[in-house]
Amino acid sequence: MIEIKNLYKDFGELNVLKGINLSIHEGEVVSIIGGSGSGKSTMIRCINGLEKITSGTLTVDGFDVTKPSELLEARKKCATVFQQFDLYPHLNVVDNITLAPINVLGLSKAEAQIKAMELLDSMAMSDRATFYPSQLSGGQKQRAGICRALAMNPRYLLLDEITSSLDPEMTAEVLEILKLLVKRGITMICVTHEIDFAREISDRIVFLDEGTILKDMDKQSFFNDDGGLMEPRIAKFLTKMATI
Amino acid sequence: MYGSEGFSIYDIILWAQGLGVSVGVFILSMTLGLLLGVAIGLIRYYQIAFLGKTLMMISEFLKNSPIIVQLFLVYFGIPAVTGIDMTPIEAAVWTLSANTAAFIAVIIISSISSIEPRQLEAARSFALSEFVILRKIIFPQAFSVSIPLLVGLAINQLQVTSLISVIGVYDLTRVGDIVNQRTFEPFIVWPIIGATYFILAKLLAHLGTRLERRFSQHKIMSEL
Amino acid sequence: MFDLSSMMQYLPAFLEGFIMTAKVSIISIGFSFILGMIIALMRISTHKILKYFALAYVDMFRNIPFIVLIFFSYYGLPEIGIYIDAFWTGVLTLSLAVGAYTAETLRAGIESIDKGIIEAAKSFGLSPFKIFIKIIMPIALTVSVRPLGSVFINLILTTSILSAITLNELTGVSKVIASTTFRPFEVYVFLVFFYGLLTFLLSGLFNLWHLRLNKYNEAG
Ligand SMILES: Nc1ncnc2c1ncn2[C@@H]1O[C@H](COP(=O)(O)OP(=O)(O)OP(=O)(O)O)[C@@H](O)[C@H]1O
Ligand SMILES: [Mg+2]
Repeated sequence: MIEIKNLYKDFGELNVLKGINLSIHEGEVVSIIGGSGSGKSTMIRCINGLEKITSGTLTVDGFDVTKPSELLEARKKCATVFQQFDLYPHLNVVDNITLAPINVLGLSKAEAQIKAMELLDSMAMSDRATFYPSQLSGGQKQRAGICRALAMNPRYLLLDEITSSLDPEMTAEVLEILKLLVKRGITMICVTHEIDFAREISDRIVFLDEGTILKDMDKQSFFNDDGGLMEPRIAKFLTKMATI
Repeated sequence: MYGSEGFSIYDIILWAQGLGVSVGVFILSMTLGLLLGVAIGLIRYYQIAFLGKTLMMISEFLKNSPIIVQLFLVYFGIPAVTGIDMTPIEAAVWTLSANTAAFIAVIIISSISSIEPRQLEAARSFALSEFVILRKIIFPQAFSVSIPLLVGLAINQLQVTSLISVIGVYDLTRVGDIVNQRTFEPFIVWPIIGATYFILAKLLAHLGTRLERRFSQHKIMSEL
Repeated sequence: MFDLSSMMQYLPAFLEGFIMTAKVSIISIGFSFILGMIIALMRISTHKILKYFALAYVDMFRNIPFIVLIFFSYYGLPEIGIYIDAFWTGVLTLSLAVGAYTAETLRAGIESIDKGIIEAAKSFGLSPFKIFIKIIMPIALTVSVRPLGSVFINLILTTSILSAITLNELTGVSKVIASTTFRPFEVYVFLVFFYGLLTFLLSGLFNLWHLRLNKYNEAG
């Protein structure tokens, strides 16, 4: 379980997260939506230990990300796919995928490569295994990014707007893969602007507004007129998203 | 060993003389190097047969061999084959000028080639003479591109002047060597000499940034 | 007038000088690379004191002529009880001085790396050491090989100054040959060509290395 209690995050004078309380259980698919600058990425970065939290607690399966001694264990449980792909440019696709399994999980090179090839195969990417990131299309890059995350056997998959740098065709391609993963029962925390997609795959929707959680409810109630849509800000956000 | 005689008031005069020689050689060789370098650059640019290529070839060797060896070549080598005697200062100025020119020629050529060829074609289509094109179109643009490169080169060449002490020029470094041999106070002498070069370099860098800034302002003004 | 044949007998001496130049250069390149890496890391660290120390270091060694540094070491070190020969005085001073240039070159390479890539590696639990070895260094090197190449070629040319502290490297040996044969012109012209060819070959090698390291971003 990822457990966030009373989380505050400031950047100097700027209060970005203001008292977040959120628990995510294994097997859940949670979509996090909200306007630009509401703090979604910052929250994901806090879970990764990439941002130092100002106050509150954040644990991943009991491991406290604020404690240097426990951060590594927490990080092993979560794997992230990034909006800008952030593949290692000097390594080919397979080496991108196997770097952390070999150096963090201690897999042998052969084991890691077999695993990587399986993952690539499942995403119709095996013919790109020895390509460098610069030789891939956006959609292929993001599929490689997903493979890289899955190769860690993570308990939680964190996705931060992973389709927003892609054109519609490639977006569809990547979303298909995510749907497959959900079917297999992975736990997923997914920051997204694709409302339809969130509606389709999520169990729960969390709406973030100016650093606080405005609504945290199951999908059915969230999209009901007497649920999330009661909240004018959410209704406004959803109409805005729908018109884009 | 030689007795250490301690410092005297005359050491300050020596220091000032050395400083004067270093700065003088620097200014002289930068000026001569600039003239020579621009000339070589233009000869190459206008592809004056044979001469351009030969000069660039020589430039390459000047850029890619130690200055010390070049100084030895000019000071000891040239008199040996020509019979023309040179004072250390003359040899120093000629060597550093040629060396500076080699770097400047390359800067000039790359600055000129940064100008859009279409501009020049347009100018030629108006039947402007090559000289007018050079003066009114090529020179102003190439100059603004080359300023930061020239400043960097100048800062480097200032340090290079310290090497002329090896052929016996009484520059700042040579003065340091003399005073050091007499006093045996390397921990006083060399930090002072080093600090003098350091301050000179900083002054030059400061002048350089002012020059660059003034020039980029001029560019903005002319764009309005 | 231009007579090289009579000089063949000096070839072995010349070769010895070359070996000395090569030895000083190779050891100094190694040391200055390691030192440069440390200074570069200090320079980009968030620790104020380390940062300013590195900045002062780079500023000092880049603005004081090498010959002044080498005289300082050569005459200064024995005064404080450190007795090392001209070879090691040269290696030490050369490494310290060139380290400043190496540091700046590596820093530029490191700073060109996209922060997101490093954060991605962190998020997967890679240790700072592993990130440095597996990600930062390889990428920084691909950016820095060529400038690093010119820094090291400059180092080789600078070893000639060690003749001023009696080290018998190429230039020192040639000085002796020039004065014994009374043929300074031939000797120094030859030497200019020799150094020129050497740097030409080396810069070719660094270019090849650059191409090899950069094969990953050929395709857009
Ligand atoms: N390193 C930082 N330093 C200062 N401010 C930051 C930093 N990172 C984020 N912020 C600020 O925090 C706020 C929240 O940013 P965040 O990236 O979490 O928003 P977001 O919800 O992900 O937005 P988007 O939908 O545009 O990605 C923004 O106002 C942003 O400017
Ligand atoms: Mg974001």
